[in-house]
Amino acid sequence: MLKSVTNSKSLYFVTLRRKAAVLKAFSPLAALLVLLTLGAGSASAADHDNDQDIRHLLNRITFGPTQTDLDRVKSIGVERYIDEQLNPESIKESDRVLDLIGRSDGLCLLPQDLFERYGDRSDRYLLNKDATDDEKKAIIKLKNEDSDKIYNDTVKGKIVSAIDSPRQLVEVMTDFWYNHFNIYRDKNQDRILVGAFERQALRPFALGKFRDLLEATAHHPAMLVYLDNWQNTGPKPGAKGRFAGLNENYARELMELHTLGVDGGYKQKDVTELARVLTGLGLPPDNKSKINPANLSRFGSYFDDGRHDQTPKEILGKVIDPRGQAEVEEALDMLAKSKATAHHIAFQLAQYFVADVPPKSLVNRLAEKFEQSDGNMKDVLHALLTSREFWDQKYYNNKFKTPFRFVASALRATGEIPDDAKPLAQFFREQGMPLYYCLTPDGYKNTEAAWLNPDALLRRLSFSSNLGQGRIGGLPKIKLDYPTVLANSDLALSDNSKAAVDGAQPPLKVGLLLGSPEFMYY
Amino acid sequence: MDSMDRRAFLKSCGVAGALLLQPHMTVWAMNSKPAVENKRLIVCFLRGAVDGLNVVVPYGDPNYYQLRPTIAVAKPGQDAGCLDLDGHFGLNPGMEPLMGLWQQKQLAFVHSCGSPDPTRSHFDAQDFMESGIPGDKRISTGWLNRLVSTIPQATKSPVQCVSVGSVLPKIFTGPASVATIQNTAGPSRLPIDDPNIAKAFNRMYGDTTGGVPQNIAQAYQEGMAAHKEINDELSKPPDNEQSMANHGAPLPTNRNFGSQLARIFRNDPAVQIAFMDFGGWDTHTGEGNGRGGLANRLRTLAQGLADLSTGLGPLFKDTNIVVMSEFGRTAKENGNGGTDHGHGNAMWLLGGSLPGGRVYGKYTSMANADLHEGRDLPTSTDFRSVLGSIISQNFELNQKQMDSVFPSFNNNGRDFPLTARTIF
Repeated sequence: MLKSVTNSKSLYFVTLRRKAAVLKAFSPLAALLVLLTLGAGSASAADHDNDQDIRHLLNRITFGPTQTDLDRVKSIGVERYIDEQLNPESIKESDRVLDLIGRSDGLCLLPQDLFERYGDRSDRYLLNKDATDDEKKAIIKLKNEDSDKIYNDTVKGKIVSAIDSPRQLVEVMTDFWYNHFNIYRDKNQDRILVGAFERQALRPFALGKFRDLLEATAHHPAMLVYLDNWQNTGPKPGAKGRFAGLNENYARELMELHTLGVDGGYKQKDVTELARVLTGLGLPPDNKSKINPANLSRFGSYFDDGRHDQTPKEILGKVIDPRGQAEVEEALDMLAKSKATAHHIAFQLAQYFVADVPPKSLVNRLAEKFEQSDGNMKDVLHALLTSREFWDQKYYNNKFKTPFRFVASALRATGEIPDDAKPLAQFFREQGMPLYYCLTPDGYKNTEAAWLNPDALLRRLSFSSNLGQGRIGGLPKIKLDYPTVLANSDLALSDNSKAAVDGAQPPLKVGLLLGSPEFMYY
Repeated sequence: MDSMDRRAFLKSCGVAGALLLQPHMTVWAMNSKPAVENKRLIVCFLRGAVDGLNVVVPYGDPNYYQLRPTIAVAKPGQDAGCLDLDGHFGLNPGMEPLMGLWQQKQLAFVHSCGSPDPTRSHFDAQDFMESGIPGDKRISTGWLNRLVSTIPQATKSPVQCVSVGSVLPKIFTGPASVATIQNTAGPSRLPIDDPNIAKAFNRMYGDTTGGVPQNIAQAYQEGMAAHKEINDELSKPPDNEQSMANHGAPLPTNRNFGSQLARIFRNDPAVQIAFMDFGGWDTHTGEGNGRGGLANRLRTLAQGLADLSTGLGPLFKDTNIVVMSEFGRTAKENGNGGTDHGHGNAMWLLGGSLPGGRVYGKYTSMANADLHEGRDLPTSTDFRSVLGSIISQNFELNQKQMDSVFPSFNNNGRDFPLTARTIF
């Protein structure tokens, strides 16, 4: 126990050193007692190598148990399993996932290449002025087909990764970050960019430093398009056209949603000032000869000095001197280091991993860990997964699955990997969770209040029934075996559900299992 | 009346603000009331903050044209000009399908209206307008759900309240049961209609003593009841007053939402309260003026609302439709032919018995001194006084009942029920 406290360098350790120092002066025994008592706040993961706790862990850090994961945890123990998941480079990625990414332009190309190949000015689509209507129609059709293919590949990539990648915590955290830095696919060029955004700006940093995520999202064309910053321009007398002035859309959401949180203490003035800092941060000019390589970021953004507001700004009481694109980094540094940001992210993580109304003690501890580790998600997640609150049984099976998690966990239980994800995409639309189509920048919620409603529940039960009977399109035709699916899902059915399943005809059993109330929670 | 005259006139109204009293307005309060059960309310939320100044255009205010050099809607009679309402305000030409209702005095607007909370966050502002308690984030129920619990009702139906869309919005969250529907095109057959499957699920979800969480058990029961009732009702042949075109398209993004929703009301008398929402109003760029993005989107919505009021037929006289949005947008256009987050907005009211044909509210001007924080319309009228007036009248709610719908709202010390005379 003490070892794990020391290793995790948790808040408890710091607090306890301070308190212990005071106490040690008068009684080494009292100090030891304090040590032991406080140490209990962050439990060692090694205490949890029992079936119920293993199920809880897999429920929360994967998209649902499978026999493979159950075997893995049982063979190496909970503590090592967590470490393994926190260090995904040590886990071999699924060949199927790698193959899928390699074959999908929308997932493996950088934005500039996607623009070149599929953007409006791509040679593929350019027409001469004298093109006939039929020729124009053919081009529009080709564009739509290209963009549909990119979308279908992106959806399939997300689902197959969620089901098949052994780096499950990366997948779970990528889902978390996508909703944190949400992008709506139907915004202009984001039609071809959402997959690239997820693969390039989020997944590589999902367990890394928060500041790196901010960097990547702020400089990814998908974000700059979605929240209009590519047009955000410093005031210039007589300016005309689409670059005529300030646009505070991204600046506001950067503070409200991405970093400080809506109660993070900023004012309208701070939003406007941040918008001014962000002026000029946009997309590379169409004319390549005008590109200054120093202003092109590795994520594909371009900083246009000419459109940047060159006067001093003041954000949250701090003056930002005019120095071009360095101002953007200074502002991002400030936001990433803010206490409000630490608290905001801590709350969201605790809600996502523990309970819809997360325990304050945990939120505070994660916020401190966030600050202390300079936003290192590996440390924050380690603190979370070894916390007393995470392992408090009152939170077991209390999270209601989002439609995405429901489908991913069902397919992990049946062992089916889609060849074609379109029928699943249709189900997500019915459930009100079309993938990459959350219109608003706050992303999809992960709470019961957001997803549990009568009609959606009935449709889930229909989906389960159809899945159990092999009636969902796009899945491989394999015969589902009830005992295998039950073992994979590691589901503890209530007596009532068990009786209902046992009493049903064999072809209905899998569908009933995956439609049981127990399967709706995790 | 030019704008200066109008301002002078508004000021002379004193305490009553900009409410322009007309003889016919008292009719609203004195209407012979059918049973409360016959009253219907439809709330339509425009998520993303629609630009009220480009919907109900103050074309008589010269500041409007100064602040919006590229996105202002032109004056009536000009190319893509607004449709004159009262000599000062005009409607975006995209709203043209609703002009008939305006002429019938079944359409009204309340300008410079909204939530008193100053937030410019979409999400907080929507949350406050749905909870009905601005500024308090701890509220977990929505005012529309609390209203349902308050309405005296002989029999409760599983489809008394209908939420259009696939997720339950905050406004409908709470103890009263609400049916969610996403496709009103016709009866749908689900695997759960198989008696063997239904029997097993009934057993799993039916026994709340067996450890099934109460929430999910209730959702299951309500879902099954509503599914059955909607299927039964929609299996009946459509009534002959309506044309039922384009079955099969999902709500609410399709342009037939109005006739489809009307059909639900017409076919099932138990349906009394409905909510729907539409997104895509966050016009930070390329908003357009009398033409363009906003105008196009308004046209789809306005046509749907016109179809809805027509489709309701005889029910329309007992129906109120409220269209609201979380806040308005900046008075001045931004650098990209759009507008940023603002404050006051225009609220829309449609109803067969409204004292309509009027723009209500205390709109002063878009001069800098009249703007909230020098950039937005103020919220001179609290959205709850508008809603409160409508629901207290229609559902015959007393002050105590109103307090449960809008707790902690004292409506400037005035009692509900309000009449048209004291509203706004």
